[in-house]
Amino acid sequence: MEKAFTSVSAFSKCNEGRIKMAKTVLELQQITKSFTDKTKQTEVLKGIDFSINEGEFITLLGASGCGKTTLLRIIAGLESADTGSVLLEGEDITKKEPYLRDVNMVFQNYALFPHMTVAENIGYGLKTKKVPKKEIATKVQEMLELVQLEGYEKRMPDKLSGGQRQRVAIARAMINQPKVLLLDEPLGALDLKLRRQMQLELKRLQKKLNTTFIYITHDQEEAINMSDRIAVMHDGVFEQVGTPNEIYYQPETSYVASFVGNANLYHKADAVYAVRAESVLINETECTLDAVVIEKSFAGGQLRILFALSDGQKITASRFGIDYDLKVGEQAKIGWKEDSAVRVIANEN
Amino acid sequence: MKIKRKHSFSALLLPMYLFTILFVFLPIVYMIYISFMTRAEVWGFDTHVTLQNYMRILEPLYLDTFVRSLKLAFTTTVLVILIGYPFGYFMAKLSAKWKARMMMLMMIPFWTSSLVRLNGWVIVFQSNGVLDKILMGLGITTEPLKLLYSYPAVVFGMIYALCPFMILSVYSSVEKMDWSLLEAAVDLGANRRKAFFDITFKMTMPGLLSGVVLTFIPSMGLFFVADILGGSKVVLVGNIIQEQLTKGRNVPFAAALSVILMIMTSLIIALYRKIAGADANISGLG
Repeated sequence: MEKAFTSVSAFSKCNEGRIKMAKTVLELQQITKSFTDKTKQTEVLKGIDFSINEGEFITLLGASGCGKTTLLRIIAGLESADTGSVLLEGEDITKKEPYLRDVNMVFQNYALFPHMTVAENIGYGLKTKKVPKKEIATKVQEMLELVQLEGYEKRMPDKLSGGQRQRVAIARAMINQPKVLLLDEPLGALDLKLRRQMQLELKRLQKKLNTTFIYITHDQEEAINMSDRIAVMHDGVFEQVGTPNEIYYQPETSYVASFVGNANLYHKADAVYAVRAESVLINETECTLDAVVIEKSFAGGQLRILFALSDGQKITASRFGIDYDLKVGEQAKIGWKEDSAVRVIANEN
Repeated sequence: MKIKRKHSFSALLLPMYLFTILFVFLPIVYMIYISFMTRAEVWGFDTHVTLQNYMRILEPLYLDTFVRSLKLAFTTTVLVILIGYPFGYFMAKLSAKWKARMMMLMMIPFWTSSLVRLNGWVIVFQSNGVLDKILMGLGITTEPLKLLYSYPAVVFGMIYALCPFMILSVYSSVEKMDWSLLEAAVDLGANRRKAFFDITFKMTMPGLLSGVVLTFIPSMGLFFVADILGGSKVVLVGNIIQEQLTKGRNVPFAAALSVILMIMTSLIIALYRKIAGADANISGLG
């Protein structure tokens, strides 16, 4: 055995006494990738530079087609970059075969082997590494316990619910104790309630095993809930990398501001300011802008009031509750405190 | 749900049942009945019950023929797997445009009678035929190979006739493959070879098995292939049945041979179903 398999419980115990130390585990250098489709060439990744620390939970957040899945597949080795390098603990693995890389992936559709039982699925990674059968069985049991699927080892994947399949997929990847675990929208197929629950569980697992996670999602709430750092991807580049707080309260570009939490973009002279809907004040002393209510809607526990300013710009304000003392068509004064407007680079399309 | 709808369905299935009873079940019963009768002087049979026909099959001459037929079917099937599986596999991985073209190429021969096509191979294989002329012209051989009317020629004819079934059945199961499963296997440390055998091969097993059934069973009965390409040198069960019916005019004996052949093929289908499992998603094979 090249690497001794530390038992899960022992692993978590030593984890408790761990001193937090920023050690780079994965480094991406100038990654580019283009796809050619007949005559059209699309640049999917335009030079990604990034480094990830051990035990970090990183989320790649972006709309579909921003290149986040391609980046993940390049790290896994399922796709090769046109230029640039991937370094895993300092070793250049850019050209290394995917089956030799010490990273594992949780696929979007789970990709469970339909002809294998839950236990065989989870143990597959260890089987390919020729780990003795007895040891595999023990590890599989530990994993099943960890993802709360004890007693399901003999089931076939098609006899499981969506959430259970998800757990098997996670267990199958995590049993290998990869240096980095890649998760491609793993909760995308689950309903909202289950998704919330799995978010918490994933976070718990990640902390417990101290595995580095690179997590893909297009759901900003999920990203904010789970991540240590978020990388907002747009059009093949990282727009901004930062903690959920930084991304939410100090967006650097108008794309980040509007994608994460739907901030208002207020144009004044040549500058663009991001103002969160909850920071928009109505008929208070700071309010200086004339506005007309053009729409009211209730969503996500909040009432959203859409105003049109006299110059035609639209601003949304949000309030708790289901109604507010303003009717559609009514005039109002709106504004915001100076520090709740963040100047951003304009790049929204 | 299912129980409620069963009634209306069975009414719709009635013509199929009638057809099966009239044209499949009754003829088989009749054939089994004849197989216990005595041969008539001129044609047909006399209604004297006898086991003589079955006793005769135990004669070495006929037993050997059964063994030979099984061997040929086995050889044919193995070769058809070796050719048909890769063919079907790679065909399923072609682009949509090329898939359609390949499918067309595979279908065109079916528009011609297989007898005509087999006689085409006679022209190719006969002494100083097309193949010999090409090989001798190129200086690869110096004298005719005398390929026609030989065992290899019959095997070739069988492969030629049956390979498309294997190709299509493998093709359809490979086409249904979810390739992300293969990526998952590679991601979990399997090299491409291991991933192929652990995932792709296992998952396309039903296609391969139904291809085996579609090859093995007909290859025991395709008497005209042995007739046309094997001449009188290669005699299979199918040939004996045909000869007993025509030249030998021994209808009961032909019936008895057919019953044994039928039992053998039924056993193979039963074996196939056992391997493929009761819940195999490859129905339509009885």
